[in-house]
Amino acid sequence: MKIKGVFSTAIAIAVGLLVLVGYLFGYKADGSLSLLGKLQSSLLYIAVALAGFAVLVGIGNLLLVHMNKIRHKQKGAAYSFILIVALVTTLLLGLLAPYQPKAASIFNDSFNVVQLPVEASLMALLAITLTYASIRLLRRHLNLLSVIFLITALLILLGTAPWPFLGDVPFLSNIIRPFVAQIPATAGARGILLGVALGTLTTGLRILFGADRPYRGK
Amino acid sequence: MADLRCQMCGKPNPPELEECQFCGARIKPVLASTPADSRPIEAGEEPISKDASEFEKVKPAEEGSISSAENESPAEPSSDESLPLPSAATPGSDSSKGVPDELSGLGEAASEDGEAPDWLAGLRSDKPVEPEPVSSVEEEATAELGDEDWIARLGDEMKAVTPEPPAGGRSAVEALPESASEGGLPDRLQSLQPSESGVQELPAASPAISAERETGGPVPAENLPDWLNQLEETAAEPEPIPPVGGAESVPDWLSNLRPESGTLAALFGGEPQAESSSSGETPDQLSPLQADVNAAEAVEKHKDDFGVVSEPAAQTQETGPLPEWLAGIDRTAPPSGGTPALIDIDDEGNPPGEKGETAFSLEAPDWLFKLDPEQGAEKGTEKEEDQLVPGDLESAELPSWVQAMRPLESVVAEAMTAPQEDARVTEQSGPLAGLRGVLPSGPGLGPLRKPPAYSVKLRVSDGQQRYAAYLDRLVTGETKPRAVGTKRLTSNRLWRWLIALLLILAVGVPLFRGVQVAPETSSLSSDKGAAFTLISGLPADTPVLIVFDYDPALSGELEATAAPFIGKLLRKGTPLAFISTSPTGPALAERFMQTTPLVSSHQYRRGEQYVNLGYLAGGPAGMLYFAGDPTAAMPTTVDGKPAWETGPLQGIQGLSNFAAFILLTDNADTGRNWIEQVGPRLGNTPMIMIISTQAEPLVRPYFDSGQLKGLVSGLADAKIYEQSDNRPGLAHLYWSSFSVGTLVAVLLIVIGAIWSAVTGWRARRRNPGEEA
Amino acid sequence: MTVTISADLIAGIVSFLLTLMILSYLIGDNPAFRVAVYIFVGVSAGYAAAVTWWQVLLPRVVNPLLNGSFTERVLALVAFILGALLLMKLSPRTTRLGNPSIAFLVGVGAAVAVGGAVMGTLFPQIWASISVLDISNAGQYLGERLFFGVLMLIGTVTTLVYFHFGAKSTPGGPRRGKLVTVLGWIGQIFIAITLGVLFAGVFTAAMTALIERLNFIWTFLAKFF
Repeated sequence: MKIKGVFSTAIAIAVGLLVLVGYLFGYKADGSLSLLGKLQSSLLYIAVALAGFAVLVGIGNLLLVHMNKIRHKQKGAAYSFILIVALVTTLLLGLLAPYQPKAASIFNDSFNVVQLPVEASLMALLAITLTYASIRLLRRHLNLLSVIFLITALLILLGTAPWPFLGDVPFLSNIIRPFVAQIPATAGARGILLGVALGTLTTGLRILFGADRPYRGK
Repeated sequence: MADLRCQMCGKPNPPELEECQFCGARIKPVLASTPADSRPIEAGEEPISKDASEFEKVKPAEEGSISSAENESPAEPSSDESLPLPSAATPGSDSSKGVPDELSGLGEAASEDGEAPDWLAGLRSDKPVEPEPVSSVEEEATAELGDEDWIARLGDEMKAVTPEPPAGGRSAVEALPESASEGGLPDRLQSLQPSESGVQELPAASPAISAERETGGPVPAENLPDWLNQLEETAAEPEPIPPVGGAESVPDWLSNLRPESGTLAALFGGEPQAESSSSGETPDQLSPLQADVNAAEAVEKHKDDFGVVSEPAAQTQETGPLPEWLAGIDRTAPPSGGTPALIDIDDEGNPPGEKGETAFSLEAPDWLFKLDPEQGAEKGTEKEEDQLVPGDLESAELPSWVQAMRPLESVVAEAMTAPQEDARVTEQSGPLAGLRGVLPSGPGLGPLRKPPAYSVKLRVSDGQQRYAAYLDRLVTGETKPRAVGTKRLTSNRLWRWLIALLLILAVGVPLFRGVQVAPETSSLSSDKGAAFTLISGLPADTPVLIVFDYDPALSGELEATAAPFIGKLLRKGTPLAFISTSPTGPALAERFMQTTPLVSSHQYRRGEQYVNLGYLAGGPAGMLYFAGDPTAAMPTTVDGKPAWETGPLQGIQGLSNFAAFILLTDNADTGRNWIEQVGPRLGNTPMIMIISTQAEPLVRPYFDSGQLKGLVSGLADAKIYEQSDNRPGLAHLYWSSFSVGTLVAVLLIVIGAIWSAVTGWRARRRNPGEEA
Repeated sequence: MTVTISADLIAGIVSFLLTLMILSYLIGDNPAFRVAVYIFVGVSAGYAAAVTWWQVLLPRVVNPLLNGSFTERVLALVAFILGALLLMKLSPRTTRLGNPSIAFLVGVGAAVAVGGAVMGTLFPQIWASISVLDISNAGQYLGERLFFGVLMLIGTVTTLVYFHFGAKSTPGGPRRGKLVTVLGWIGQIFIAITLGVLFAGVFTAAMTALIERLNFIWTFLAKFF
């Protein structure tokens, strides 16, 4: 029986099992790393380095996609040109930063001038969008769960922020909000976390046993 | 006038067309027209109910010759003495009996009258003949053909060809006049004198005919079929056959039945008008015809099923000369609805042969009149047992099915009926234009049976009509632009603008004016002061590890939330170490230290009071790697200098050597990963999380489980700590705007949700099928 | 008022313009918003690439290969080879060469996830779910603690049951058992409450971001007035 990707599968299973074993037997009694621990640490070192290469792969793919867009003169090619220019400029500034203080300054400012304002502004838009969406919620989904959802959110909001000129409403701020946030919401969150953990366990074991092979590609 | 629907392709055509303009099939079948209704029957039309007895009122003595009968208008069946045609037959009448409608009145007439009509009476012998209810189609069909007069003449001419009619029963020929009228034969058959019996023999492989042809003379009576003998005896007077209404009622073959014509030979494949040449005829020659006759027989049986439309009387039909033995027969043989045979008849009623032969004219061959009784004896003996000698035995009543089995009668009857049908039909269009005797067009070479009467009116229930109307509304609505949709889009945008304006004003006015509209908070913090207590109790000289794992989008909230706590540490002079698993983390850390109120004022310098370890790649794997050996995982700082050998982190070997582990994050998953990977390696080092409010629900279980020692969440907790520390910071700056903005948002949500719920409920109630 | 044109001013102007361009989305999608977003994506990608190079690849791969010990060189070589194979993923023709690198990452990630889920979530959270019923040191708050403990336990169990999607095949189709259905319905209520709290948290965070941005705009404009 021929199994496709035997080499990759073997790598995944071997590495995974070694890292997992290091969880259990990676440390000695005095807290220092055992042999398995050092093996685990080495594998993690390689994984961290590979993660850096993965970031480059992602950025390279982004570059190729937009370059193809420009090459084929597709719709939005002008925007792609702007993106590529910004990317290349920032990358060059970053690569030159240790050697050029001005480049380093500009490179560092690129974060404060471009990334942070844009991301923060996008988050600010979310406040208005969420308000509008919650107004229309009951128009589309008028059922018990939607009502519970909306009432809970309103109670938490009213209990979190003080009322202008009135301040906190003790019933809401000290009783309702803590109760709702710490008892039923926590119970539900715990159930969700347990479910996520169980799912992670199942998926991870399937990968470690070779049942799932997401690395085979097409 | 409504469009005619083609029977082949089903598409509508103008009524004036005879052929379909789409597929070329014939729309108007070429069939005999009724005297009463000359217009063709249209598709979907209810058949006209007619009483077959209407067509029985034919008075042979009054109507004259065939020609006069043909010149009559066919629109008055009651006065018309022509035989009923299939097209005029009432649908369903007597159909259960298997009797064509046009012949349905025969029995009635017979029963009503209680006695045979005069012409038939003349044909018969002294022996009473009980009127037999017509149960066989052949009998009915043949009954139409003539009366006893011409049959009697046939018998005179032929002599030998006298198959005796069944005892007690009327032969097909005898039954014919009853269908014609009370009085007798139709006019057209009146001229068919006197050799009626010969007519009956024409299409049949009659041994008597063969015998005559062979001998060239009449066949002895004892060798003739009984019915023919009977005809001879009973045919006292040649009663005039009532004229048939319209020339089309005279079958072509009948018009060609002249003694001298002999077209029957042509029909049989022999020479026309060659009496002597027919001497060599054998039954085998007639056997091919037997099949045709039988087929015509079958057609006649299902005459009722035909929506036969007879052509107007104006159609002229040529007729050929009568054969010798039929020369004296009055050409007023009643028409039949059977399959038109290859015999046509002159529209003017001229006997066949007078106007010359046509291609498909049928004439009795000369040999038919010269049949020697001895020659037909052996053939006649075959049927001798089936036939009665007229006069010797009392005629018995044969059951209808036996009568139907009589080949000679049925064949002759069909042959006589079919030509009558054919005589009235001349193809007017198409490739067969001008030809007579063309099979009616239609799907499958003409309708073999009367199509069932389907009502074109669609029976639609109320519910179906509602659905149809609803579907129609849906379909038409698809093409129409919806004004409602456009209106809704515009209103949605306006609402969004209004909401944005209100929120911006609610948030901006207190901020711009610097007005404090919200009083100090009196709430409890999320962890009930645990984080604050912990931080307050941390040693001042032990480094604290701070992880900056939040996005720049929420830097405003996290900076405002973390500032009171970090500021407290800075006031104590605690060395700090920063790390991040995000590429922007180190920049955020630097920004926090340099721009955040309560923090920047302490002017911590990188490399001296704090160390920025930089970006840790790999996510959870990097966390685990860092947790196991932080010195190996992050050996240098962002500046490239060794991190653990000098400076604030000198002497640190592991995570447990830090005074505290503070995680700043806006993502619950990131917090969970740090808890899972680093938590077991912290030992006694407390883990404190300063998080965004959006991550609080999913992080709180870890605080409840004891894995987190402190939890600070959002602007509210920061405000509490600023108040307790009596050091206003960003939380204090944002507090009024936060208060007003949140209240306005809550009011908008409450009012808008109630309004949306009501309108949505009303919309769903109005349109149950649509989603609001 | 004199305003000196400095780098800070230029930076401020650029930040201000970009903030307005993003907030212009309130009016509707427009080219200014798109330009701002594309600039942001480009700068973010370039920034991440530069940081990755200086803080991951250079100290972990390049420097050890050049200057490291034997062990460090071996590890760096392995990382370099796997990384080079991973870069083959950029081309469709050579993408299969990157499968071993992906397999390595997947194997490590799966093991880390499994270990963390078991040691960091499953055991502690299950223990926490049970320990809420620990009333040994409840004192005067016995009833309250018991009530809250039972409520939390019910909420945790019913939430877990809701995510159980196993069903028996019946003539009317696959259906869950009645007990599972009832418990799942109760769990839905707890989940709705949790999501409501989540929504309130997201809204609060977004509201804070809006306040911060408006404060920035106001602060910037105040420099000129």
